[in-house]
Amino acid sequence: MAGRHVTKQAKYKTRTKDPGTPGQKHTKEPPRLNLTNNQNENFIFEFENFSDLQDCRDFIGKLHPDEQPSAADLELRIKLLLEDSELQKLHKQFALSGVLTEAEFWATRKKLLNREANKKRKQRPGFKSAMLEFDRTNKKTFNLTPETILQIFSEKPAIHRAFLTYVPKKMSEEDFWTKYFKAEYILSTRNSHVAAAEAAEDEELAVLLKQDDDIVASEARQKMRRIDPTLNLEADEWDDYTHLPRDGIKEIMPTTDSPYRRSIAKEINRHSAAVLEGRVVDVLELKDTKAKAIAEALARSKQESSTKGEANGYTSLSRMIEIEDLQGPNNLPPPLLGINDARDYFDSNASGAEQMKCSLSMQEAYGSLRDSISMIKAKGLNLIKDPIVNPQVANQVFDDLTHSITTTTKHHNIGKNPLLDSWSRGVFSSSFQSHIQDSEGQQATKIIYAITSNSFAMFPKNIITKKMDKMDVVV
Amino acid sequence: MASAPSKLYADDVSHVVVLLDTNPFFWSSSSLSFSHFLSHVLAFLNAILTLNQLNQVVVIATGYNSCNYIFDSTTNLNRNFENGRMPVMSSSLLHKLEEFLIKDEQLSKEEPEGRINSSLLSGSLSMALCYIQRVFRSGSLHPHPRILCLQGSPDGPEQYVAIMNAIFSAQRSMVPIDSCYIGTQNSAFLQQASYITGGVHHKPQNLDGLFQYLMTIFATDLHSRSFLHLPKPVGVDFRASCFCHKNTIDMGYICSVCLSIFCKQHKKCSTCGSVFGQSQSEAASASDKKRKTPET
Repeated sequence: MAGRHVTKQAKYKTRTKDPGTPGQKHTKEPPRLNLTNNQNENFIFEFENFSDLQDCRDFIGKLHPDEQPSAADLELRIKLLLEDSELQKLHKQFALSGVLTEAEFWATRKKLLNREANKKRKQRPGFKSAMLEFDRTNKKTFNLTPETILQIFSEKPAIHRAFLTYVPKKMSEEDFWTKYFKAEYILSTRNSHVAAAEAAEDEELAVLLKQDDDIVASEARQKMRRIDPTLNLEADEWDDYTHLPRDGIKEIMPTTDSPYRRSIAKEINRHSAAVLEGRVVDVLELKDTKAKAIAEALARSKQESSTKGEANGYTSLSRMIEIEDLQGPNNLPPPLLGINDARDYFDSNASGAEQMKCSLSMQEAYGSLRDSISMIKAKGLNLIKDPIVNPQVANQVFDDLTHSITTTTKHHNIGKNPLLDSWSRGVFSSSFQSHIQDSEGQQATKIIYAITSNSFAMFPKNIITKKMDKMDVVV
Repeated sequence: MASAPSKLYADDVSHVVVLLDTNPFFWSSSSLSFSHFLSHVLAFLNAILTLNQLNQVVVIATGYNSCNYIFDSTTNLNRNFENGRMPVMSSSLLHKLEEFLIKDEQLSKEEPEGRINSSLLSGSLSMALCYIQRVFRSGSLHPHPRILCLQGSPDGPEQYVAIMNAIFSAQRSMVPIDSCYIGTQNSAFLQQASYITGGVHHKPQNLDGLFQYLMTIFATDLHSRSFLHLPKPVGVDFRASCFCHKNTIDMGYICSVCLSIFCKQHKKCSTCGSVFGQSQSEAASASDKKRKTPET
């Protein structure tokens, strides 16, 4: 905000209907600001120009307590703007240029803000991805915070177990940590003789010095039970990838001679697993920040997760790997095809059909059909005036067919065959002309008729040959 | 399908399934009388049977209330003449047809209101396809089947899906559906049936020469067709009509569930009741926006 006061000249009115300055004609609505207070009273201010109005409105808008967003809201808005370049553009265009106020701009995007806020709530703080690193020199200053303790416990299950068994029955918490860092120091020297000597003297230290192989193995077995059985576990033998030629290494390194290397690889993997698992126990929520409480809480949560995992079996696994983006909307019910009345579906097509009227009743219609059958039965196939192919009609039919064939072939541009047109027209018309002239066509039509008569077997061959001769002449 | 070319007797042997329209309401208003029609068709059937000794003909009556087989040349081996007037096969066909009509009349319940209702083309098409499937499975050798519809009744919109299904199954089993429409307007169903299955559709101009039309266009076997210039449709009307206002439309909206066609966008499909998801479309548009941003 530039200042706490904005001074602009304005006329105060109680009603909009009041005329402005006498004698002055307003072609446009003058710039007015209408304010309503809690008692529902209106205060109308008429400004000289729109920019004044704009300034005042902005100023009042900023003063208004409702429109002041909270810090969290602002953070959310900034985050949204950073994520969505289009939104940023819009914001620049409208909110920053003053077309819309900030509040107005975000009011329309409440849904977006809510969604973002919901998303935020789901996230829990995790571990730092940096590994635990204690200064493994002769100087002994250790800084143990509840945070570090939790990390030690979740990354080193052997220490966690030892802590639960020894503290506070056998030793104090402080003693435990002293021993822990001593063990840590001995391990860092990588001197197995010293380690053996120290372990022989102190049995608790020996426990801490021991690698947590057995716990890791049992955990791995437990995890195995939850792993998809189709997964090929042979391909990666536990944490140890050194048996596979990777990263350009040509020779497979012998694994036996580098126990420290292996332990480092295991530590790194263990650490990453702990980071990925996240913080199962919120240290800040625990009022008692003593290591004992942390250890117990962690043990409890581990127990819970393992029992839950057992109970849910593979379903929990599949849910775990469910990626939100890849899931289709599963809340929509599948739409069912339920055509109640088939007529609804098809009546539309009836529109094309012209309404043909039928005057006859059903009995009459069926009766006439049966009559025609009995007629054909009585008269035989000679019903139609002899012959079945009337030369004149036949000529028309051929003309019709020729016409339709030639037009469609031309239309389709398949073969521009002038012969087809001329030949068919010429041949058929002249041949049928000749039929009419010498009545031989009547006999030709017997080709068809012969089929239905006794003479089928002795079909006169000479008729055909005669006809063929004629055709040749015409062509 | 089962119809491997090696299973055919020869490439010019046909098995023709003829679907005869016996809708009494159509024939009572038709310019061509039913008896004339029958005599043309009977002559045509005889001609097919004599074109090749191995040719077979099956006739199915497409009635108003029912359909039935009225003739099958494979079981009707008597090709002699009965009292000198007509072959035994023709008379047996007529006899069966008469029986069929009596049954069909008994099945009818109510008088048609005003306009001529369609005959059961979907039923007879299905019967023909069933018969053809039996032929395919009958033995090692069988003639090449095809269907010929002799139809005069107007299209029955209520049979649309059934007919289209029959057409597509005919297409799958490589059975061409030929159609000869003898009614007043052209039939969109039959046009599409012939177009989709690779058959021939024709609407004769001069019904007195029906026999000649049938002989010239529909008598030839499928092998010979490849050498002949047969009438081709200038254009097939593939336009659909919307279900809401029954208008013929070029572009429209289609329900993604039941494929009902609408000329306007609806919130809910009136046919199957599917609700067109609001949230999904919103989400889609939002993601579209996001995707488009890097381009701009």
